[in-house]
Amino acid sequence: MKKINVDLIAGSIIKLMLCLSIPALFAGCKKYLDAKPDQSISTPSTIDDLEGLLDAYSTVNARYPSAPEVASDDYYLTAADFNGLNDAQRSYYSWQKSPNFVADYSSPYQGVEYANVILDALPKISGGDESARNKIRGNALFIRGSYHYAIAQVFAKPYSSSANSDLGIALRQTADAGVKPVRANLADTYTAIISDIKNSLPLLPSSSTLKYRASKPAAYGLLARVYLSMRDYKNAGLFADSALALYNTLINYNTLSATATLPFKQFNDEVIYDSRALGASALTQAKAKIDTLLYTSYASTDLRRTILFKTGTGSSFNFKGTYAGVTGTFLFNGIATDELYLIKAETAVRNGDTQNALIALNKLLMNRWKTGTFVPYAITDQTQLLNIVLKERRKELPFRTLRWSDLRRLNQEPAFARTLTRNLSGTTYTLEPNSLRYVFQIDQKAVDISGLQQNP
Amino acid sequence: MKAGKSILFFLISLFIVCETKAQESIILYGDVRSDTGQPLSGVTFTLQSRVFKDVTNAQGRFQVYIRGNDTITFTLIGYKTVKKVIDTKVNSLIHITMEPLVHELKEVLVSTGYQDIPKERATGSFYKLDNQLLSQRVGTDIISRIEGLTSGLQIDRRNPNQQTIQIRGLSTLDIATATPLIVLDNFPYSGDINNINPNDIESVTVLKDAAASSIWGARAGNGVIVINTKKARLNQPLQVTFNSNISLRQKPNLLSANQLSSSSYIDLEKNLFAQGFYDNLFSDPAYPAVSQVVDLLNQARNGTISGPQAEQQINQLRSKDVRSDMQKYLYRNSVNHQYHLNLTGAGNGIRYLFSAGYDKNNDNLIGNGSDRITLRSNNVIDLTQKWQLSTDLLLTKSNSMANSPGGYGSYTNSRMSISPYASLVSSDGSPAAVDLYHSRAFTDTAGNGRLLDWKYRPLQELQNNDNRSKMSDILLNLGMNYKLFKSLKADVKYQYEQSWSSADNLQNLNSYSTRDYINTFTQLNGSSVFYAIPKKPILTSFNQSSQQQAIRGQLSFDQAFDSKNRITAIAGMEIRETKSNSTNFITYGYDPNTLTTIPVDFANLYPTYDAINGDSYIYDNKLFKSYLNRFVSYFANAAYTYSSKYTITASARRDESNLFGVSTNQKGVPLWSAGALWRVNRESFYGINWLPEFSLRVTYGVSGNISPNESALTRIQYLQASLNPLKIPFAGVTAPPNPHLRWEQVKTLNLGVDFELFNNRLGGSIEYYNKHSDDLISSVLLDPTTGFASANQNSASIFARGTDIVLNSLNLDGNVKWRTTLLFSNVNYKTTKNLNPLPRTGFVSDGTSILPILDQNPYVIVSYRWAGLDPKTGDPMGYVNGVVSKDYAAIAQNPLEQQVITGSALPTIFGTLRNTLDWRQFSLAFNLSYRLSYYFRKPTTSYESLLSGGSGYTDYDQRWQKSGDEQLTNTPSFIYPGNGLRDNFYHYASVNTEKADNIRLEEIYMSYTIRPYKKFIGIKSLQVYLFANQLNLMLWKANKPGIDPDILYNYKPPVAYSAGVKFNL
Repeated sequence: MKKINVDLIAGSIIKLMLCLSIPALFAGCKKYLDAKPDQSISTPSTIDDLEGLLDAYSTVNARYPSAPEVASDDYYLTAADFNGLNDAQRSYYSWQKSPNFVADYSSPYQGVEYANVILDALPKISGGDESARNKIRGNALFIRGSYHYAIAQVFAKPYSSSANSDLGIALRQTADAGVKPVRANLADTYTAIISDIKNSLPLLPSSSTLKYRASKPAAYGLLARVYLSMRDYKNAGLFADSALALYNTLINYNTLSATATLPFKQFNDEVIYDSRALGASALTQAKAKIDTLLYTSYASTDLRRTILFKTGTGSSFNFKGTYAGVTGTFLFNGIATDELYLIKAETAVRNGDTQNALIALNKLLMNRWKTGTFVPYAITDQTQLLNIVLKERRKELPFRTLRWSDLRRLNQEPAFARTLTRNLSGTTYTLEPNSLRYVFQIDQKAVDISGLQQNP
Repeated sequence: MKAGKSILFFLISLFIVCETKAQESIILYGDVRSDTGQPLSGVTFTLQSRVFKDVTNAQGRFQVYIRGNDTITFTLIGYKTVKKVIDTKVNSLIHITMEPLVHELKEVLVSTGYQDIPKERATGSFYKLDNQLLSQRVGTDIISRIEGLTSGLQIDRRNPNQQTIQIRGLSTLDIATATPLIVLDNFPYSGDINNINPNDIESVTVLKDAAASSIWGARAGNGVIVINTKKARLNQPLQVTFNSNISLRQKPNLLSANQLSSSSYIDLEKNLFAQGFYDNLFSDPAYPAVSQVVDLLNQARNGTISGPQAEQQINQLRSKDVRSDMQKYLYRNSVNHQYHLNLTGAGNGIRYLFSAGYDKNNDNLIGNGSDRITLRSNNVIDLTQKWQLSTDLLLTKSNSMANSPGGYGSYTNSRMSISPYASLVSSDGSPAAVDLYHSRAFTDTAGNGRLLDWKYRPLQELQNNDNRSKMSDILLNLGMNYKLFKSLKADVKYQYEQSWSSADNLQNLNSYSTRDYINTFTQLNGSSVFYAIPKKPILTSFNQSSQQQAIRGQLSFDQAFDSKNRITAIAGMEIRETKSNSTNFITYGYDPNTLTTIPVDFANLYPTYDAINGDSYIYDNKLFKSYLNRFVSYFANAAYTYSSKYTITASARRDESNLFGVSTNQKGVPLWSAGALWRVNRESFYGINWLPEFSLRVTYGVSGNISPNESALTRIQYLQASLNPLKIPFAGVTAPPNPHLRWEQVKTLNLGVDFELFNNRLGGSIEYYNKHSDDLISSVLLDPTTGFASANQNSASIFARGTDIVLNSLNLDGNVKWRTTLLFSNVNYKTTKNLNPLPRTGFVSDGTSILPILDQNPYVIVSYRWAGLDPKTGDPMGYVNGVVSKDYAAIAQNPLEQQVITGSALPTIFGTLRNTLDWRQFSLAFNLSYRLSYYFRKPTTSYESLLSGGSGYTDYDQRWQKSGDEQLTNTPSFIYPGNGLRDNFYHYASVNTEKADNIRLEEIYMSYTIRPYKKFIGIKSLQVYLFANQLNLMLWKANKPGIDPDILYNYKPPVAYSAGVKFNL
């Protein structure tokens, strides 16, 4: 009797499990299978996720190409150090056709992709207050404009009157990797860059407490830089003014320690927007030696002589004054007030306003020289003053990746066009003004896969 | 023994005399022979009527006294038991024939993890390894015991960090998913396979085709390995088995590793030094290490020592070889112990099994080793006639130690490797400092004695390392089955697995990384010393726990309707969940004696000593991870057999999972298979006498593969603050959206023939298969303009076809029994579709990773055509459009059609020949393995990587140095500055590929078994065995230079010798 009971119970249990629980599970399955497989992985679906993407400093702020600095004339390498470099770095330095696969092309586009992921996701996400949403959208537009601009400085010709027929860069406006990239013309490239930055302006805060995030002064400053490279000196001046109206602090170099290994902190008082170029082995402190003429152009009471540089081997000098505030080969290429003062000075003199040019230039230099030693410039001759402003610009902004754009831009003015040369154990390399080598080769994979046109 | 027998016979005779009148009694004479007519000695025979036991003599003869009618039972290990009814009126002389058990293989049950199928009714392709074969090897893990013994299975061990098991070639292009599903006792095993003690394994069944594996659905595309542990058996008295062995492995001979000689390396350094290559190191603010020779050369240049002095010291280094020191001080002979005890028995309504195992392994590397304890209990209880309960509990606990600072090849960083002439011991015998991290000049003087010693000494590390890990694992299986009707059974199975592992690496103040880290963050201001990191040991910990739960409800139906029709079917549902959590953290200022810690500040930048790292954050290694995988599956399987001649089978399964963003759950089609079996020899028209067994099988089906790493949506991943220069957590985009994601599908056709012939002396099977693997997820190169270098998409197909042949033969059946098993597998596969193919220009490969180029094996070796060395410069030459060229950039764009396509880097023909010889109590088995029709690329020195601290190989010494050398060597001249394209061309030149085909003797097993006539101190049988493994005895190899394709870079692994004893009580 007992045995039968046990059998009955067992039978009932199994029948229950098989017959009742399965349909119940069917209903519950969908929810059961909705659980996240990896807690740290998700799709961008909340405002916090987008904030998280903006906090990805290494991609959002630090993927700017360093090739233009490697190719610039502010420094030199010994033949021994040059020979120790890899093919890519050697080709940049010696102005040879660069090899086909370069991080300097792919990396900034990763920054663009982050911006596009954010811009694509934001409209599909609800929640977050309006100002938070605006800031995210403003930042993403700023990042996209900023990276597109940096790419154009390396992989497209300098902006000129032939921009409508010149080849620009591939403008990425979507995160979808399935949308095939196409190279726009140069005029459209700059239109898109300017429109992204201008669109970001109303969305960004007037001042940024977080210097790795964009702000109105950062966007104005970037526009000034973009217009300057287009040689639109009127607009460049206007936007430099707008930026400086919102933020204009300069560091008095007399307050800094000349012996410090790193004289500047990250996010220092002059920085409006913090960003960095990729590391480059040619530019390590031990290898890159400052151009002798450039170094000697700093007066002995010019504090930059000791704050920006340190004594290297032999009679050489190495750069240490990076606004990135870290060692290594990370070059600061963000927006800082010193650059804006110089844009203001240059555009003012070019626009015939020598008075304001002198004010801006002297204000900057007053903060650079040993207290009491700087005699303010009072030249009123436009050409002479322009020469001085451009010289001071080069002295103020070495190792910021800006020199390359300046060379490209100024080569279009016969008075400032320069032929660069490098001597390496008997071989002389030259870079003529407006040479094809001012435009680097795009990544061969873009040519092979999407059929983008390679630069000549 | 002989005396005993005579006495016994005498007593029996007396008995006869006494009893002869009472009943019809006779003395029965007879002999026992095998089915081939050989007399069988040692056959035990017993009578039913009374307690009696004897054995046949050397001629197979016996005599026994029989009173009245009786039944005699003859038993012999390896033979079918024979029962003979004796009628004393008829029989006085009988001839008994015993059939060897080997012919019963076809009646073996194969296990799919859902059901056991008699092989005679199985349509699919199964290969089963029984306990007897598995126990002829020694080793702590189960995978190494099935390698080379399983048809169609090969293990790709070329990458020591990622060994992949291939069953019938490659079915997927994602190496992370390209591994078979491992099923342990009915459920997929998610734990570490090394937790399983091979001594607990009863059988391993490999499911090779869709009919066999499709019951595992979306996870079966790469084949399934079903492992069943030993189970308690019915009607068995208590049986105790004890097995123990010891394995010895000599120190490896490091000098057998391919390495550039010290002297050559010194010459290279002198040459580079003269050209200023190292100059920047001396002004580098991070004070990188410089090698001893470069240091001496620099001292000579600075005048600190004289030129001849430097030269003399350098020349002394030429004869040093760091490998000798490593071999002497870092390696030892390894000793492994293994003990295993198994108790099993059955009582009234209950069956039980208990086992305990202990393994202790000491590695060849001093300081490294592990031990493992396994405890198992298996019980089956018949609650009622219909209701059965089974429980199975497995506990594993293991500890391991990794205190070695590293073996050969470990001393390298991004900038340099240990110099080939370095010494690990100084002249006074104390641990010597090696040049790897910071320069001697720096570490000698940094801080003027106010910092901790900053030198790196490998042997000091060995003395101080305390790096342990522990692992515990509980595996519980509960099963209940209930007979609803005579032919319908309901089954519920539940599995729970929980494992915990933790690893603690305590680095005290003597260990380099602690000293280095504290020093880096030490600030010396005047006379004050500030430590941003406390001057205490640093503890790095890792904890992981994982849990798996699964429940399965299943109905099984098995009924023979009449003598001809039989239906077997199962249907059910399964829910499975695996969870795992892990935590990493680093504790600074840890005092192991008082268990106190001193906090550090991770949030602020600290200056580093002499700004060697500028201002830095203190490294914070906190990492939390949490994973959860859920699966819901429905399955059904049915087989219909008619008249024992025809069987048709069908199975279907549907899988759903929570894999992120996969809408495949909704779109998914069920995976299915169908098969048919025709046992031709059962037909009445069949009349081939020499082929008594002959059956044909055909199956077709679809199984799947699933990649847990894929998603249909843009995926972002939250990453640690420590990875962000801003030191705040952030999100990174990990993959672009993939709206078209779906399962990978593997469609397999399998044709098989099973046969036995020559009086059943030869049996086996031949199978042909082809597999279309479609919708394979493959990394597709993207235009970098999109922001991604590549993305994974369902974009490729592979077509594979092959043959598996298994032959078992009994070659000699006399006193010496000689059995042979031949496994032959041939598999060829190629990429047949690739939506976004790799560029066909400039394609070269080593075949070491999967490269799905159209119409080629994914592991194909492709090379540049070689045109020899330039007799003037020693530059390597190739071809551009058929013209000899040194334009390496142009060569690197050669179309595939102009390249040399050599073939697969994995064997396309492979197998083993296993011979077993038995003579009396001796048994000898040896395995020859052959691997054919594949290729490899020789190691070549890349001058560019040699310059940046990479490895140099012996080919460097053969490099071209003067005109005429091109007749003797293919190694290009050394050039500086290096040219990466030139190095690359030479590495991938056709002249560096060789045929890899080889035949080698892998292992020998020998045993001697004693079965005492009477129990000797309770021992029923005792076996001693010897086993030699990894013999690597190359019997033949195809390549002329005589290179072992398995050992291209590293040293030759030493042979392992084992000895063991096994006994039954």
